[in-house]
Amino acid sequence: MKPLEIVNQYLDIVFSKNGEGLSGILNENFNFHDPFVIEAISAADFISKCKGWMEVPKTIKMEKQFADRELTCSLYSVELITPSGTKASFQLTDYIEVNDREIVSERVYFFDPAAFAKAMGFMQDYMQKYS
Amino acid sequence: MKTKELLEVYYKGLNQKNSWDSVISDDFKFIGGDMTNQEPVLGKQAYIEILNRFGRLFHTMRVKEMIIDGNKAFVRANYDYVFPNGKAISGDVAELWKVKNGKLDELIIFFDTLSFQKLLAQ
Repeated sequence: MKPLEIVNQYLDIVFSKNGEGLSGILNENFNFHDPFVIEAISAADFISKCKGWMEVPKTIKMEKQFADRELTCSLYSVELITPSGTKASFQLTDYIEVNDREIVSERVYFFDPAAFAKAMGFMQDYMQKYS
Repeated sequence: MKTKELLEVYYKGLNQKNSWDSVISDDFKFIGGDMTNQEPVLGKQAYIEILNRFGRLFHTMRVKEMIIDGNKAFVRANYDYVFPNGKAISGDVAELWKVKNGKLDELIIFFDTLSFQKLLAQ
């Protein structure tokens, strides 16, 4: 399988399968980084820290995707229903490294992290980091 | 010039704050200067003005990672910011490029806001 096929399998697990099958596609030493101080240093750590996010009903709309050998980049929008019941969309990009059919690392960037924090109900926690 | 060469010229020039604009297309589209607004800023001159302002905020920069696939590229760039109050910090920016007709034609940037959290915690 090509790296982008592995990445799309991973994104499908995250966005369509509530995280079912993550342990089978993540490298044991999976390294994850996003704007909300969720830094995970193993697959088990990531699965534990992102359990709530996996359960949020959401869809992904892929805009651009490309790869250079085992390094990939995806630009996409995520649509979801916020805890207050409104529909919202956020643009993200991620940088994923694949090795031997496993996801080794991922860095996620939100176009507007504050808007995401506000919509998902943790704006106060997010802003506290800036005070 | 191919995508990699264009980016090398751009980033080398950006680091020296000189001649980076030679590889920017006249119809350049830039998204990301304002995190709350995804409407593109249009035109080379408008981007030059943005970078002239941004250039006063960083001292040096370096490319940490680069993925090139034909006319598209992802760059993780790291900037050494020095703010007017004297505080300094190093922060990443994810930069997505598109090349058209031998020039850099589009850029979308995503700031790593964790860097700024660390600054404010200083």
